[in-house]
Amino acid sequence: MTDLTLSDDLVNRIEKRVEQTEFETADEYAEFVLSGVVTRVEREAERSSESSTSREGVQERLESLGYLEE
Amino acid sequence: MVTVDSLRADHCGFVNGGSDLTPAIDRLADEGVSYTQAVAPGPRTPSSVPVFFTGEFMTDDESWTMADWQGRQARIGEHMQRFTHLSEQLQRQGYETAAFTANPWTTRESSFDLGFDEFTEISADSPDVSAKHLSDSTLFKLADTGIVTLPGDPFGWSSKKEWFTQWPGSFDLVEEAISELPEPFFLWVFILDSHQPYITPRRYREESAAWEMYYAILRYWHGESSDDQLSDRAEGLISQAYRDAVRSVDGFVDRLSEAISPYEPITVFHSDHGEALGEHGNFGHEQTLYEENLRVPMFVHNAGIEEQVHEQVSLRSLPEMLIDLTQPVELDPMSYTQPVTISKTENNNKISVRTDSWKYIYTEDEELLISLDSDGENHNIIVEYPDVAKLLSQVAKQHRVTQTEKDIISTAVIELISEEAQL
Repeated sequence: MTDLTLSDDLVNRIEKRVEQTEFETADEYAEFVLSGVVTRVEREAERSSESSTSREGVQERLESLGYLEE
Repeated sequence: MVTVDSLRADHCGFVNGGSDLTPAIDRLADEGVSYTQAVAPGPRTPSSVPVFFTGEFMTDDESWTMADWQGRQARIGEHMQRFTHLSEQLQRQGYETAAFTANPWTTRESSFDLGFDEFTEISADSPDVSAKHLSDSTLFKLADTGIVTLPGDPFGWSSKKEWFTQWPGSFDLVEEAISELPEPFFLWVFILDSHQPYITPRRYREESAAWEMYYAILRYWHGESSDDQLSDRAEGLISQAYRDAVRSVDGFVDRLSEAISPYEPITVFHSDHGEALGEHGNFGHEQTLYEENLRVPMFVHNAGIEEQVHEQVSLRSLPEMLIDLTQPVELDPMSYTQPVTISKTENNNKISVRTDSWKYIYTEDEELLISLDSDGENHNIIVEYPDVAKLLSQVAKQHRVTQTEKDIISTAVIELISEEAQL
């Protein structure tokens, strides 16, 4: 773990958002937000739409295993 | 990491001393850290595996749909795009990463390949393997050779091949990968053998003759498609077919432990969810949050510590645990346990809050409070214990508030990054 510095104003605003949630600290909240941003940025940079599995093939597999019976 | 589809905790001897189906699993569990109260975050693969791969529950978005399988698949894919996978974390730490998955929800289509240097889908239409890798059964190979030559696929064979997915068919590929992977490596194997319809190789069938196994399949499917009550005999045949399937899973663990032993790896073993065998009128894994569907076996082998943990742990802790296992400090098995665990159905319509003794279930129609100490979860005692229900309902509410907040954050992040990408 490494410390990052945030302004008091931002931390105060985060602490209000954290109230009544499962986030125990402003650190956890900030980690969630930053992790989401960085992950999305990385995905956009590496995005590949290549898919080798046909949709029809996936449907057959799901049907045969009983997932589409509802 | 070994994930087994639909393996009930109470069919493993290290959880239920009355079961003798899993000697290899029990041996490894006894030599390591075993969790006797592991809980899945959801009762089916789509509600469980995306959660324990990312550590995050799936949230809802207006554009997502549960109306068809494409929508469900896309929803999983979007979740997997939003969050970091445990495989990506390990890859970033320098691990060579490889996966073998037989489950159709955990594919490239749903972005499960992210973070894997090698990703192998075991399926009839996979680009990675041929049909012969589904099963090493001579009967299967004869059928596959003969039926595919018939015009028009008269028996719907192409969609039935999935039933025969058995670990012996692809084990040579797993062995080959193990021998070729440079260390350190992370290998994930997800097998389907205890998923219905429980077609099990002959050498692992101790209870079911072939005709009984196939008859059990027919009765199972009949029960799925009608309201007819299954006879006790039919239920018995389905249960014994399932037990033989569990024996096959144990055979896999035995073979795998032998194959990987020269590398002395740490092995994390668990199932993705349980399986109903008639409890609450269900077979398989319906959208329910009862113990038969949520309780899972779980152990960590060769982490330098032996311990049996009876406090509950959620599979949602797996990313944290796996990253901890890469560190040069002794594993603290208790650090992943929680007094309260949350599980949800795929559509988020049902949420359960579970403690060692209680389970509170909230649905759109009702609230249930169940004692886990007795009665097989058949009685709603919310009127008798309002204070317990109130306390657990507050946990459920806090979880919903959190998920709403996370959804707002994730949506904002997507919009922000998409706008930036378009500029």
